[in-house]
Amino acid sequence: MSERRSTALKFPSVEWFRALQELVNEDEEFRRLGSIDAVMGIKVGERVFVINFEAFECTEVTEGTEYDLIDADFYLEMTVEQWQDLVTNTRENNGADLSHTLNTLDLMIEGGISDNATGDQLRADVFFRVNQSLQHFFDSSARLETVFE
Amino acid sequence: MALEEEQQQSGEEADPQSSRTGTSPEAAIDRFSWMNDTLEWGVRAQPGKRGLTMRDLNVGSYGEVPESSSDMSRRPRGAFPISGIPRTDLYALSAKVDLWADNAVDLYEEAIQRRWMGHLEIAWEEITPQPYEYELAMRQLCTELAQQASIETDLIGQWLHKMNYAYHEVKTFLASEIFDTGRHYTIFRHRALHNGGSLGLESAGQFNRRMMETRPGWTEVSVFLYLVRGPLTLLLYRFGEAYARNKADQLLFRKCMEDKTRHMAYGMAHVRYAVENQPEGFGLGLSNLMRGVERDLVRDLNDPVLWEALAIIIGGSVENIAGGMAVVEDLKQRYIEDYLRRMQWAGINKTEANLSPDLAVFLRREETAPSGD
Repeated sequence: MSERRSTALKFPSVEWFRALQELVNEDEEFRRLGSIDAVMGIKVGERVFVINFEAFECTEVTEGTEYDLIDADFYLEMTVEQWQDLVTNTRENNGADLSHTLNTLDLMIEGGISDNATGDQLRADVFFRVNQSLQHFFDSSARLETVFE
Repeated sequence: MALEEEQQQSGEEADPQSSRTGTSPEAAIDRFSWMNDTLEWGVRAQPGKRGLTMRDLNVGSYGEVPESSSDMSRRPRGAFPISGIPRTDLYALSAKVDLWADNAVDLYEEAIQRRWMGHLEIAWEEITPQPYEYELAMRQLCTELAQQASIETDLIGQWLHKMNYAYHEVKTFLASEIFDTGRHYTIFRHRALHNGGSLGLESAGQFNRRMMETRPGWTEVSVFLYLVRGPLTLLLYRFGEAYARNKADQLLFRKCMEDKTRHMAYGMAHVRYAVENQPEGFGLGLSNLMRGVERDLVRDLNDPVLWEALAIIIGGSVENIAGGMAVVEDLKQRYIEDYLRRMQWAGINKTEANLSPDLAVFLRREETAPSGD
């Protein structure tokens, strides 16, 4: 997770997630983890982002509305402060430390962070099926210069 | 379409091998009559972004999945049948409804494309010695997980050869699952023995026996393996990841978590398919079957060894076992809730109302219910 990018990007923003998209699509290690087919929603406070993964790539990042979460396999929801804590921790430790992995946060934060909007357990489980790729995606943010709103 | 006809239409050049042997394509076709024995020529599979996958190859007649098959050979689906070939098996599972899941074809590719190698990818040198009691607890957890994996290997193995080759999507996926569980067995055994450790106590075993001795059908076994045992194994992996003391352990548990959820995806989809396509009342029959199953489960869950070990890992030491045990109680509650949720997803009417009272205790409803004062 070296070679940090110097231009500061605001979190949360489409630009921030697209920078992550660019990083993993150039990353041989991400590809080596295997194919990943998932539609992931991200909910940061009131803002919603939709991130598509297909085959070995992150194919699309868009900003959406809560309604878009219905089509996601799963969505990750935390408060603004919890997201900032994750991004900061990832940056400081060159990847999430032991207590900030996605699975850990899902177990430790009241009510969990990952869910399917329609209660479809099979689709909600995609979060676990490709968890290492998702962890790698967020860990890559250690290479971004991030500022918060 | 015959090969000869197709070659003429497509204007293909002569087979280089025929050239090497000095025979013209026409002569070779005359000479090798088997070349015209095919169910379908002219199939063209196109690779996609994931490469040439099993789904990509399921085109034309090669992608037709029969509702049932009377073929008792090991003929790959789409191969030309030969009269007089002796039977190689008497497949008990020759109807689609007995084993099928629509997602099996993609789960097979996922298993292949996301495969991993524990002996190379886990940084074993980072797993440094911890206090003795912690190591004892970790070896106990890993012994339990190794045994769960070996049971799964044997369980699938004793059903796999009973499945008709018409359903190669399921057979190959389950073969990949056996490979996964073989990996899980060795990796948890390795972890238990790491740092000069040793293996702990074997599992309580009532539920293992129940799974191994179930005879009526693969669907019943799938309920036990993927909807009853699966959620527990997944939670043990998840808590192992969350309470790991180093990145190597964390990665080990996380990769097993991926594998396990993939296995459960097949099982959930198969049970749902069976409930929807078997005669009415099949789901009710599965629900009724759970009474005895839950009794076995309770006996295993009341065995303290795994929970005490887990509480030490979570609490960090024997001194902090009480704190760890509070988290273990939370794990048990999550397990029963998850079991109910997955059964309902699959179409089996399993709710708190018809749950074994001894299992309902794990839900701890009395602790959170209003007192009524």
